[in-house]
Amino acid sequence: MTERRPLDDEELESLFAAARQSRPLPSSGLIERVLADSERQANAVARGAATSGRGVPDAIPETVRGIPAALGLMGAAAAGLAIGFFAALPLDGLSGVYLEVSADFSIEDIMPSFFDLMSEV
Amino acid sequence: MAFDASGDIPNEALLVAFSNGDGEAARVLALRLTPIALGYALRMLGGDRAEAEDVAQEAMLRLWRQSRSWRQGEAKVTTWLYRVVSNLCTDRLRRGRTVGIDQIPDPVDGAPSMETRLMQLARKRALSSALANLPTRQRQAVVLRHLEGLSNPEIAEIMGIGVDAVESLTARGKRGLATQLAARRDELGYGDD
Repeated sequence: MTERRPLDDEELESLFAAARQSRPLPSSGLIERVLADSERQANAVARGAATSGRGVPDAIPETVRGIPAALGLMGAAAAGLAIGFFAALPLDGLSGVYLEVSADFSIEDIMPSFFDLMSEV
Repeated sequence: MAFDASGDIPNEALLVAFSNGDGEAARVLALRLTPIALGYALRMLGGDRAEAEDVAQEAMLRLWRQSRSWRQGEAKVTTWLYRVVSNLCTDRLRRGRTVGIDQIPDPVDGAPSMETRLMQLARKRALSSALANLPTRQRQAVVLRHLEGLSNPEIAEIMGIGVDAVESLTARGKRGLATQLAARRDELGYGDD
């Protein structure tokens, strides 16, 4: 059996042209299903938008969930203030150890206490 | 928005209108894009109409979902759609869902002579059959270039490869088709050497 010559570009192009001429049309059922999907999607988006625009009563549960975090933050702030207020005396003892200097001065010489600052005002 | 002259409105603008709740924009997009998705899916899936309709519907559903986060200027809607249809078809082809050539519907043409119609039908079926035997990527490149009429840069974007690779895939695909169809010269009306 002899081998046939492959189709040339012109012959292939005529095949492509024949195929291009007959673009299949979607059935009405397919278009209806596609439009129904678009409506479902639009409704879902609309529901989402309505949910995100809730009133004050709807927002209360989220506010309550935030209370523990707010209490924790307030506690941490209070602790920070207390440490800053009362820490001068312990630091006085530690400074000689860590800086390896003779303790012939107190921490108040370097950093005046809050009470001295207040009395100068 | 009124769409009396909807042919002038870009797909991207229609998609934004749909995401803002415009149902008429969805109708125009569905009528404009579903045939494209269906035609391309049919060619990729060897003419399996039921599978191609499923793919077209799924691709359009993904488009509706994508509309909210669509960023204009990044890509053409048609390019995005071709990419989605490509991926869906590739998934189905990997699962081994194929179709017999006999299932390909006859073309609905104007009113050519019976002989011409039979020849066109034979050519269409032969091409579809030969395309189905090509490796998926070659088939994809040939269909997008020669049947969908896209440019090489567009195909490169759809397939996620370079333009050189598109040219290579297209050339190899065409050589494959030419070789496969050589034995059917007489049947296709191309005579002998």
